[in-house]
Formats: sequence, C-alpha cells, structure tokens
Amino acid sequence: MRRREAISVLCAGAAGLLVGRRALAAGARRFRIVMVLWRGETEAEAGFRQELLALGVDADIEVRDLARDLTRLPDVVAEIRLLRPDLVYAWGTGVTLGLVGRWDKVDPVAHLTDVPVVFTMVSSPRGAGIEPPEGEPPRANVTGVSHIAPLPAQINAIRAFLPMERLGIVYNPAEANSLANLAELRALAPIARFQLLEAPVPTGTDGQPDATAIPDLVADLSRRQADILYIGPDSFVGANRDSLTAAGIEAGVPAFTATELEIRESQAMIGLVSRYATVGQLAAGKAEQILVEDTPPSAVPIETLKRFSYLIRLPVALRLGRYPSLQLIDYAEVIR
Amino acid sequence: MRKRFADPMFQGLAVAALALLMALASVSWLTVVSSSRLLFPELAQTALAEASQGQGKIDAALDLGIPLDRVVGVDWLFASMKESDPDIAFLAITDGGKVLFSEGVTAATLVRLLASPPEPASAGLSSQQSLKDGHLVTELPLRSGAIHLGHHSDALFKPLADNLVDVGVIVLVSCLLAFEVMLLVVVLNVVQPARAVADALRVIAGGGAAALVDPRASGWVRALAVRLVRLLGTSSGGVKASPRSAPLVSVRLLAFLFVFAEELGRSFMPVYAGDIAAATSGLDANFATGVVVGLHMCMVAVAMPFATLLYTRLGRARLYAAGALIATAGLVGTGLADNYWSLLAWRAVSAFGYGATYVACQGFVIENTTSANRASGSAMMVGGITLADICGPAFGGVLAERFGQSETFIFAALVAALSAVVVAWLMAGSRRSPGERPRNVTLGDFAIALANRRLAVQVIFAAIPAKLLLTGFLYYLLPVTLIGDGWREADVGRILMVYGAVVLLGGPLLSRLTDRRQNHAVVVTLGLILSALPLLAAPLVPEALVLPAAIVMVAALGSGQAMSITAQTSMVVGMASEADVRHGHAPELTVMRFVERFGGGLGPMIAAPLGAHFGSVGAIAVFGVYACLSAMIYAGLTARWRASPSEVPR
Repeated sequence: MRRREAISVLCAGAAGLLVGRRALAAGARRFRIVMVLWRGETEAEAGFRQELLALGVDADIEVRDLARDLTRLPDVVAEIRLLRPDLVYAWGTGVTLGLVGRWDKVDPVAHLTDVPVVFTMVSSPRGAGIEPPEGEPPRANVTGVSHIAPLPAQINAIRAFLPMERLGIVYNPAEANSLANLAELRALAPIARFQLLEAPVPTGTDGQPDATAIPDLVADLSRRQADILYIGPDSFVGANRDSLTAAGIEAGVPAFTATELEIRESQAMIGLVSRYATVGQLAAGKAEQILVEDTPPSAVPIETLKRFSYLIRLPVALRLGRYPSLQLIDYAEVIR
Repeated sequence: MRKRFADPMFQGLAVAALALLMALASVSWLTVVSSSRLLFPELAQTALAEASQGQGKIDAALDLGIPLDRVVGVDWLFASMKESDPDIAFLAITDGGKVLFSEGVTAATLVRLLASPPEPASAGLSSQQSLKDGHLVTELPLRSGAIHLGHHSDALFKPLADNLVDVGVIVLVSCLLAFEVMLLVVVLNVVQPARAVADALRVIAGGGAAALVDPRASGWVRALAVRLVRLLGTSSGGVKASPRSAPLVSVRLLAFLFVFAEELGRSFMPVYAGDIAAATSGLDANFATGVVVGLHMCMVAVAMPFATLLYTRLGRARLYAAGALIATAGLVGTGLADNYWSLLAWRAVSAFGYGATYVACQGFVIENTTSANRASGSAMMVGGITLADICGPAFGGVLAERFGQSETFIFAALVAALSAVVVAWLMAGSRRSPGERPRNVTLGDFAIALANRRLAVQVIFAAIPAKLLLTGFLYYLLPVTLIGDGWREADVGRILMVYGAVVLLGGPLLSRLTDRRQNHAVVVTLGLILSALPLLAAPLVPEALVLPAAIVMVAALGSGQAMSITAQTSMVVGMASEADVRHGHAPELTVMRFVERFGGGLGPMIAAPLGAHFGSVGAIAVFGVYACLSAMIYAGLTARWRASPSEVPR
C-alpha cells in the first residue's frame, strides 16, 4: 500500500510539472476562438470556457449565434475566413455540417478546410457523416465531442429500472441523425435480445412530418406491448417531446431518453444523459491539445464521455407505479 | 556467577526457558488484547451501524413516495450488506407485525424468531437489540414499519476463538523449538560426555590408560581424562585439543530452522505475489503468481547440483552458513520487493539459499553416519523438516495477520540469519572430512534412468502427479481459494499444518501397512487416488462447509502422499542394479528426486492459468481428474509388470 501511495504521489508530481509547463507555454500566446452556436449559449459553453481557464489557455472568444437559422451560416463562414481565428467551436449537428460539410462532400468554397473545428453536442458524428466511416483516414481539421451514451449502455440503463423485452421508437424518417441511430438499434436488438417496435412519423400534407400523429403512434406501440418508449437523437421528436411523453403516460408506457431536455423539461421517466457542462469541458480539452500542444486535429480522437448521469423523473415513475430500486436511488439523480 | 553462565547446560536451559517465556508473553499479550477489545459491545455497535445504514436506504425510498410494500431491491440491499459483513444472517422489513420482505430467512421462521423470548444478554447491547434464537437481532423503525437485521451470534465469539487458536499455534511452535534446543543441549552436554566417560572407564578397565591421551571428547570430560592420565602416571605427550564435534542430532535443529524460515510465508505467498503481480507485472496476474510460487521450487532443484559442487570447496558448515545468509537476503528482498520482477529475482535468491542449506544438511548426515546408521541420520533431518512444515505455515499465518505479510518475510529472514549463527556455534572449528559428500545428479544418472522404461512409468504417472497435486493444490490453489473466500492467513496456515501433521503421525503407520503389503504398485495407486478423489468434489462443496472440506482434502492428500512416498522409494530402489544399491547409490532414485522436485515447480504454474480459466475451485477438480487418470493408467501399466516380473535389470 505504501509503495502504491508513493507511486501515485510521484505521478501526481509529474502531472503537476506537466500542467505547470503547459500553463507557461500557453501564457506565451493569446488565442482567438470563434464559437458558432445554434440557440445561444448553453451550459456546454460555460463548461468550455471554465475548462480552458483551468487549463491555463488564454483565449479571446467571439460568439456567433445563428438563433436557430441555418441560412445565416454562409455569412458566418465568410466572416471566419476574414478573422482567421485559431479555432472554431461548433454547436450541434446542423451547425457543424454547415461549417465543415460531410466528410465525403467537402466543398472548399462553402466549408472551412484550413481552420481547426472542434464540435460539441453532435449526437452521432459518424452517423451524420461528419466523421468518416471506420477505415477512412480522419479529417484534417475536424474533431469534437458527442454527448450521447453508447447504445449498449443506454439499453443497460433501461434494464436497470425495468425488465425490457420490447423497445418502442417513434422517429422522423426524414432525419439523417435519427435514421443512423435507428440502424444502430436494429443491429443491437438481436445481440441485446430485445424486439424493436418501430413507429415512423408520417409526412403531412405540407410535406413535413405530422406531429399530430404522435399520440396515435404511441397508443399503437402500447398495443404492441412496448415496455418503454425510446427517445434518441431526433430533432423532430425532441421538439414534440411533451406530446410524446404525455401520450406514453396516458397509455401507461414510460419513456427513456438519451438527451437531457426530454427528462429535465418534459415527462420522460428515465434518462442516461451527459451534462452539457461536462461535454463542454471535454471539448475544451481537445481545443487545448490543438492550440497549446500543436496536435493536428486529425490526431485528436472524436469521443463521447466516459461517465453519464442517470436521471429519474419521480412524478412520472410514481404516476405509472414504476418504482426505482434501492440501488438506483443510491446513484441516480432523482428529479422531483 | 560468571562460571555458571559459561556452563553449556545452563545456556541451553536459558535458551529453552527464554523461548517458553516468549511464548507465555505472547499468550498474555494476546489475551489482554482479546479481553480489552470488549468484543461484544463492539460487534453490537457495528450491527447497529449496519442496520441504520439499511434504515437510511429504505427511508430514502419512502421519502420519494414509494409505498413500503412496493420497495424494489431489498434482495440487493441484503446481498450488498452480506458481502461486506458475512456474519449477517437475515434482513427483513415488517409493517405492524406483517412481514413484507424477508431475505436470508423464510417469513414463517422470521415470525417465530421475532416472537421467541430474548436470551439474557451481556452488557453492550443497545435498546434496539436483542439476542434471539442464536441471532443478534437489531430492529430499527422506518418512516412506516420497521427493519430487522440479524447477525449469527456465534460470530460474536469467533474473534475470541481465533485468538485462542493463534495462541495455541504460538505455544506449540515455541514448545517444539524449546524441545529441539533441549534435545541438542542434552545430547551435547549429557549424552556425549556420558558416553565418553563410559568409554574411558572401559579403556581403563581394559588396562589401556595410555589410550586416554587422545580422548574422543571435549570440555570437562576431556580435562578429566587428561588429569586421570596424569594420575595414572602415564606420560601424556602434547595433548592436542580435539575440535568440538557437533552431534548428529544438531541436524534436526539446522534442518528445522532453514525450512521453518521458508515455510513462514507459505500460507499467503500466492496472495502476496498476486497483489504485486497485478499491480506491477503487466502479465496475467494468475499466471504471474503461479510463476513466483513455482519458480522457487524449480530453482531449489537447479540450485542443489551447484551447491553440491560448492560443498567440496566450502565444507558443510560454511556452505550451510552461506546458504542461510543467501536465504536471509532473499527473504528480506521478498518482503521489500516493490515490483514483480524484483520479487521474482529475490525468490530465486532465497531458493538458492534453501538448496544450499539443504545440501549442507544432507552432507552433515552423510559425514556423521556410516551406511549402518545413515537411515536414522536421514530420519533426524526429515524430522526437523517435517516439524518445520507443520509449524511454519501456521505460525507465519498468525504473524502475517497480526503484523503484515512483508513484516513476516523480514521475520523469516531473521530466522534464516539465526540459523547461520547457530551453525557457526555448533560447528565452530569443525573440519570437513575429505571422504564422502552428497552425490550430485549426473548426466550418467540420467542415461541410466532414461533407459529404464519402468522408471519412466513411475515418474510420469505416479511421482509427478503426486508432486503436482502437492504444489499445485496445497501450495497454490488452496491458499488462493481460501483467502479469496475471505478466510484469514492464519486459517490457511493451520490447514496447511494439517498436511505436515498427517504425514508425521500417519507416515509410520502407513509405511508399516506398505511393508505388510508387498505389492508396492497397488499402494502407490491407492495413495494417489486417495489424494485425488476428494479434490473431485471441490465444485460441489457448499459455502458453509468450505473449511471442513479443505481439511478433509488436505488430510487425504497427506495420507495419500505418506502412503506412496515409502512405496515409491522401495520400488525405484528395486529398479536399480544391486551393485549400485550396495554402494549406497541408486541413479534411478536420484533422477526421480530431481525430476520430481523440478516438476513440483510446474504445479503452481499450471494451476494458475487453470484457475483463471475454470475458477480456482474448478482448477482443483481438474487436478483431481488428472491425478485419478494418472493413477488408473499407472495401475494398468504396473499390473502388466506383475504378469512379467523379471524385466532385466542392467
């Protein structure tokens, strides 16, 4: 034991030296970062700023908020080319795709190719085509962080609460994000031994997915004996989360979510989610590698977090008569 | 007064008395510790804390609005509490007399138990606790209802019993050590002088007083003899002091000390090595551990031929002292090793020391005996080794538990250093006799042995399986399994002690049986099957019976080995040519011992990966199956020998 303590003290000492050196090196230069955001600053940006400070990276950060309007993106790209910042921070799948394009369809006119881009809050970088598929070389100027727990971990999280054999999913077939996630679920189903019950949202007369169909789709899933509704990275379902979860409660089927909003601001019963602030911190670590350590973005891996938060929305659980176990109460965050 | 201190008899008695005094001091110390620990209130306090932890968890669920009868995971709570405290017997939740949950006990039993009148309890129980029907029951109120936590009340007394057994082990070891020392002192100071006096009287009676000039004695007997010669008027021209000669019996103490030092670490060595291997080796921890345990035995086998070469140069006393000092260094290194590779190196060093002292003891026996009494000389040495086998693991287990594993190795190093001091004292001035020395295993021996098909059968199907069982099961899998199950090092040490005790007590009886049955092959087969059969049942042993089952397995192994060792030796000697045997040497036996010793080292190395694959209990059964199969093949092959008994001896 004494030996191990001594070793850990030594390691801590070495780490301290490294950190000190980094801080010194960083002190030598002030960096310029442009943040391109989808809907104003979130906790993720707060985490990013805080972590950069902690790492001793001195940076001027300029924010460009798209206010949920992707048509503003070309102007932002043009501005970035003029500003020539050291790094661009991109929030979300849509913004990131707009800034850097799909890996196999990069347009040097429309997309940034020479500025390092660190993305956050992209649910499935590979599914969205931001990250090249396995076997392809990584992109020269793009790296970042996903905020979604790996699917097997999500399934385990559901099963920690209730025995699940049938997983119901309402999804928007028009979203690449959602389809990528669905494909992964289909592949996982036989391995993790559950049946995937699919309910695609139909298209309305306006050519857009029809939100009014959601309650019926949920009722249908309930008739097909879905044990739980799955809410993955799907912007349409996310936008209609209240309607979906309410229909679920009505039919006696709880909902699980892999993203925070559906449980914090709506009625999903359980969630395995990452805190936005933690995602921002992880992104800051990648920014530091690129800025201070001069690591090329292609050598900085695209990652998701190692730890996620287990959330339980208690009123929904009590209403459905689904009680969390003593073990879950021990480590989950219970939202009352 | 000073004269009195110089008296060897007084010195011996003082050493023996000191050993006993130390034992008694330990006894008193342990007793004081036990009684001052106030076991009962402490355990009751722990039980209360555990119950209140459970209460907190259930109340947290109730606070969330979960109805008491719908709480999920009481089974998990029970399992996790029991994991940290195996003495917990049950966990129950009741509401107004109605049993809602009961884990570890049926609802009906629980109701009966709770209704039974409380036993009179000693002080130290809180108002929420009572002794009922062999259980310490702690009952705490919940927001609604109540939680009941039950502990086996036998567990209250287990620490006390453990302390008493530890005390017993220490007293036993001290008494045996005192006995060894006394035996030596008596032989040195009473038996030898008495013999010398008797010899002198016989010489004088025969009228040959002049022969007394060079009496075969030292100390006061010698002084007396010289005076007697003067009185008788015989000229005593230049009486030279003959060196003090250490009596044969001292080999007992020497063998005891060096084996004892090594055996101290036996009960926890796999666990000690495993921890270091897991932290620093980067190898599979199980395999790495097996290598540490096995390497020692292989190194002993390899070191012995080297030590035999040194024997001629150094002589037995200096070889023994050198071996003891090397072993001291090895044991200190073992205790302080901070990474796997240095541990491995230090184990090899102490193995070399062990091999050297072993060879020195053998040489001591050979030099001090003739072919007529060599067997009893060897028995002296084996006696010392067996005693150390019995005491070492048990005593080391107690030490490790009280003071720590590294500290036990340091103590073992001190014992090894002590043995170097003892040999210096015993053999001061002793000269090496130029005659015999322990025989080395030579290539010629191998050539002779390899040509013997029967020996191959003997070695492959009987000797090696028996040795693998001993080293793989007893020295590796058993400690790993028991300590993994939460038993203490001292418990493991005491179980290992059973092996030595069975061999010591049962050996003579079983070898007489062997002599009566002239069919040695059958005895060897039976011995192997007896050792292996109980191992087959290892996976079926319920948790509650682990300790008795382990004792049965070890006792069976001891009896089986005791049965087959003598029979195997007779058989292998029987395979040697008559001329060789008449010269007191059987190459077949030498080779078998070497292969056996070396093969023994492989036992832990095989057991470790097996344990990783099948679990240690599964690996024990695999060893059992392997030994049983070997025994059957051996029985089949040897049955044919009886049919054609006259295979040509060379």
